[in-house]
Amino acid sequence: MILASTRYRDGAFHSGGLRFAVEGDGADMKLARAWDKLEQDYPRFHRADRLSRVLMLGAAPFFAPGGALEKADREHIGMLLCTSTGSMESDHRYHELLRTSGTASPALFVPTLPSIALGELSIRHGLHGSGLCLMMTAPSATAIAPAIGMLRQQGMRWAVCGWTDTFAGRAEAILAAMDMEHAADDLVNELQHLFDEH
Amino acid sequence: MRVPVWIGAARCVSALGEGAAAHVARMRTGGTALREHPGPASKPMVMGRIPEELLPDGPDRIHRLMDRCLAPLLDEVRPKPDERWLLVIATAKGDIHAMEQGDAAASAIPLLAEHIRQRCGIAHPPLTISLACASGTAALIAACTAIEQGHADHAIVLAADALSRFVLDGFAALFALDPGPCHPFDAARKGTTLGEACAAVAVSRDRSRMPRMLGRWRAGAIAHDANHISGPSRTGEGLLRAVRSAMRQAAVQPSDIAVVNAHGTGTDYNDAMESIAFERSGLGDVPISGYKGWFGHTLGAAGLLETVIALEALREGTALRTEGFSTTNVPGRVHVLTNDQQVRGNLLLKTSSGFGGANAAVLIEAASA
Repeated sequence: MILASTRYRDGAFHSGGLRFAVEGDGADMKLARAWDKLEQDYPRFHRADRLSRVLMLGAAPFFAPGGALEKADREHIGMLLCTSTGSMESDHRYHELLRTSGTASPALFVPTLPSIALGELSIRHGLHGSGLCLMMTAPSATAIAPAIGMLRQQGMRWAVCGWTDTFAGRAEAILAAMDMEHAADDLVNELQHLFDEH
Repeated sequence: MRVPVWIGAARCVSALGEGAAAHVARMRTGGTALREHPGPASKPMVMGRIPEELLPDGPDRIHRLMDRCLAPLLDEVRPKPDERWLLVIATAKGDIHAMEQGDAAASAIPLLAEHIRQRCGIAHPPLTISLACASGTAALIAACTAIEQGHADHAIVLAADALSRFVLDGFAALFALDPGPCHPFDAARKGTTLGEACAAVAVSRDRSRMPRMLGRWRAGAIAHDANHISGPSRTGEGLLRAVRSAMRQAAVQPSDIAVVNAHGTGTDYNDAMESIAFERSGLGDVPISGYKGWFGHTLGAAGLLETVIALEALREGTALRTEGFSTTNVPGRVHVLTNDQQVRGNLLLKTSSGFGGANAAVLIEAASA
C-alpha cells in the first residue's frame, strides 16, 4: 500500500500535510528553493544533476523525522524510477560542451546515465536494496507491474517508486513510499491511481 | 515451488563475430578483437568495433545492431498474438548518435523501445531498463522474474549499445581507458576498452517453446553500493549483497557454482572491488573469467552478451580464460583463469556493476550440450 506520496511540478510541492510553492528563474532555482523549504542539510544536492535533484526532493519527506520510511530497514527499501526524458537534459549539456569546445567534462558525463539518480538517492539515504530505472513515454503502473514483482521477489519490503521527468526547463515528480507486503495487484492499482490523479 | 524458466534462442554480435558458438570458438583459438580504429577527431583508439559486413543496412548503428539479433530471433520464436509475451530492453545510451547528429528528441530511449516493440508485435508495453553497465544483467533478472511471478509466459530480452564519440570521449575524460586492449584483473591493468554489441535471448516457462536451449534460470538480484556515483564501493558492499541474495534465493552454496563470469572491466577500482566482493562471498576458489579483453566493454549489452557466451561454453563443461590476464594484484583472493578449463557442475554466476553503484548477479544452470 502507498504509505505516503509526493507531487512536485515546476515549484509546486505537495506531500501529505506539506504544501508550498516557490518562485524562481528556471527549474534549477525552483528546485534549490524547494529544497531549502524542506530544511535538508545536504550540500551534495546542489551539485547533482537535475533528474537526481528532483528525485531526492520528492523522496525527502519519506525519510524525514516522522516520515513513512524513516524507520524502515535501509537494506530492504527498493527503488523504481520511471522516466521519459531520463538523462536527456544532462546529455544535452555534456554534448553541447563537447561540440562547442571539443572538451569532454567528466563531471557532466557521469550523469548522462539516467540511473545515476538512483545512485544519488541510494547515497543520500543509505539504500542498499534493489532498484531499476525504467524508460517509458508516460507513467504507467500496469507497465511496471513486473518490476514491482521483481522487487518483492528480492525481499524488498518497502520501495520508493514513481515518475520523474526533467527537460526543457521543467521538472516534475510523482513519487510514492510503498509498503510492499501487500497483494501485488493492490500495489499496482494504488500506484496507477496516484499516476491517474496527475 | 518456483516456476521453471528456460533461456534459449540466443543471438549475439560483437567485434569478435556473430553467434554464441562462433564467439566461443574464436575465444578458444583466436585472439582479441580489440583493434585500433579512428576515434573522436580521427585520433586512433583501441576499441571493439563490429565489422560493417556483420550488420544489416539501417538508419543508424543502434538499430542495425538490434536488428542483427532481433530479426533471426523473431523468425525462430515467432510470438503469437494469443500468447503472453513481455519485451525487456536494456541499454545504457540507446540512440545517443541521434543527439550527435543534432536531433536530441530522437535520442529518447522510449522512442527506440517503442520501435522495437512494434517490430516484435508484442502488445504489452516494454520494460526498458537503463541501469548503466548493469542494464543487460538487470534485464535478464526482470524478464525471468516476470515469468516466475506470472506477469508473462514468455519474454524477449534485448540488450544493445553502440560505440559513439559521446561515450568514447566521456570515458577518456574519466581517465578510465587503457591505451591498448584491456587487462581485466591483471597487475598491468590501466583501464577498460570500449566496445559495442547486441545480445538477445528468449525466455519461457514452456520448455517446448524454447529453441536452442541455453540454460535454466535459478535466481538473480540487484543491489546498490550507496557509496559513490562513479566509483565502486571499496569493500564491494553492493556486489556482495547482490551475490548473496541470488545465492539465498536459489539455495546454493559457493561450492555449487562451476564458474563466475565477472564484470572485469580492467579498471583498477572495479576489479579490486569485485575481488573483495567475491572473496567475501566465499567464491575465492571458484574459477573466474572476464571477457572484456576479447571484445571490450559493451556497456548495457555487456551483461547479457557475456552471459550468453559463458553459458555456451559451460554447456560443454568449459570455463574460458580471461584474455589479457596473466598475473593478478587485486586485493581479494580470486582464481582468475589464465587458460580454458574443464569445470565441474553447470551453474554459472554472472555479475555486472555500473556507475551509480548498481550491481546485478544472476545464477543460471547451463543446459546440456
